[in-house]
Amino acid sequence: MVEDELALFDKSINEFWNKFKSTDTSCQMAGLRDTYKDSIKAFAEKLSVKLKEEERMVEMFLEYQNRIRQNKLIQEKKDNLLKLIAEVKGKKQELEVLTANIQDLKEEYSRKKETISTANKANAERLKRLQKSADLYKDRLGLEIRKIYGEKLQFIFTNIDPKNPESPFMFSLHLNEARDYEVSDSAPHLEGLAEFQENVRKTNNFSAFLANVRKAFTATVYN
Amino acid sequence: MEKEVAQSLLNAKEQVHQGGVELQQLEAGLQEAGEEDTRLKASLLQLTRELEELKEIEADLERQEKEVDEDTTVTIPSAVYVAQLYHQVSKIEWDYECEPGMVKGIHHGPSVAQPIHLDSTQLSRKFISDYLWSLVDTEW
Repeated sequence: MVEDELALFDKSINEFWNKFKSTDTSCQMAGLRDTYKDSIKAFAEKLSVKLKEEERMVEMFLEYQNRIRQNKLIQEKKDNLLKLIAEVKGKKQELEVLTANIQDLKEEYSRKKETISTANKANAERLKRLQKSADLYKDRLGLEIRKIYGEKLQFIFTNIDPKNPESPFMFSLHLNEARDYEVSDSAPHLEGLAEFQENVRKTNNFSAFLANVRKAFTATVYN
Repeated sequence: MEKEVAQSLLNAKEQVHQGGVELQQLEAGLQEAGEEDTRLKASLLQLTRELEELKEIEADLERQEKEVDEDTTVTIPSAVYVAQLYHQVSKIEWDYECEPGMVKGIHHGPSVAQPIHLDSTQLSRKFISDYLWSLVDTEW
């Protein structure tokens, strides 16, 4: 039964198609379809062109963006470079100044060292000679002269006591406010010391003074 | 219009390329300057240290100068004073060139100059001292 219906249906379609093919409408439709096909084609072509243009514009935009970014970077780097070059120049100058400074100082110190060395040598020589001289006097005269605190001179005799030549006999001397000789701290105590002091104040004969003091010290041993 | 767009696109591309070259050069320049800067920094540091050391040397020299000064203004005058005092008191002048063991010199008395010649190897120290002091006048 279905086969019958199908056959019927098929027949009616064919009939319709034959009827349709022979009418104007079919021609119109075919024409419309062709026109439609053409316009779709044209539209697609236009679209394609537009798309391509758009693509190009996007590319161009990106390129310009790149350029702007790059220009900024270039400017930045140029500024950095200039700054760095200026710093380098500054440092070079600083280096020059320091080098010159150091050189000057080194020369100055070298000269000073030389001067000091010469002076030291001379002083050492002189002191040596002075010391030698003083030592000879000290040893041979048996008299040591010392500068002590309070602007005093201390006189220490030895070779006085024959039994104890090393045993010291001493006294101190200074100039008082009146600029007079003043003796003090004699050991051992000396009776005539005050008298000697008077005499030396009067005569200023220091040589005799010491000779007499020594004589008096010697006398104390033999008593 | 497409031709114009294409052209300006090519120009932009070219500029980007040139910009790239310039950037590279700038990078190289920056690198070089940076290295020089580092070298100079190191040199400056070294020199600054050297300067510090020199300051210490200066302080040391100052100290030495002070010592010399003290020698010349205090120590030596003091020693001179003592030596002169001995000379003035004893009126004796030593012969520093004589043979060791000998006591040789001159005593400058008020009227005459008397030579001194003693053999310290044969005489006691007390004897020598007593003798030398005997030459000194006790008269005021």
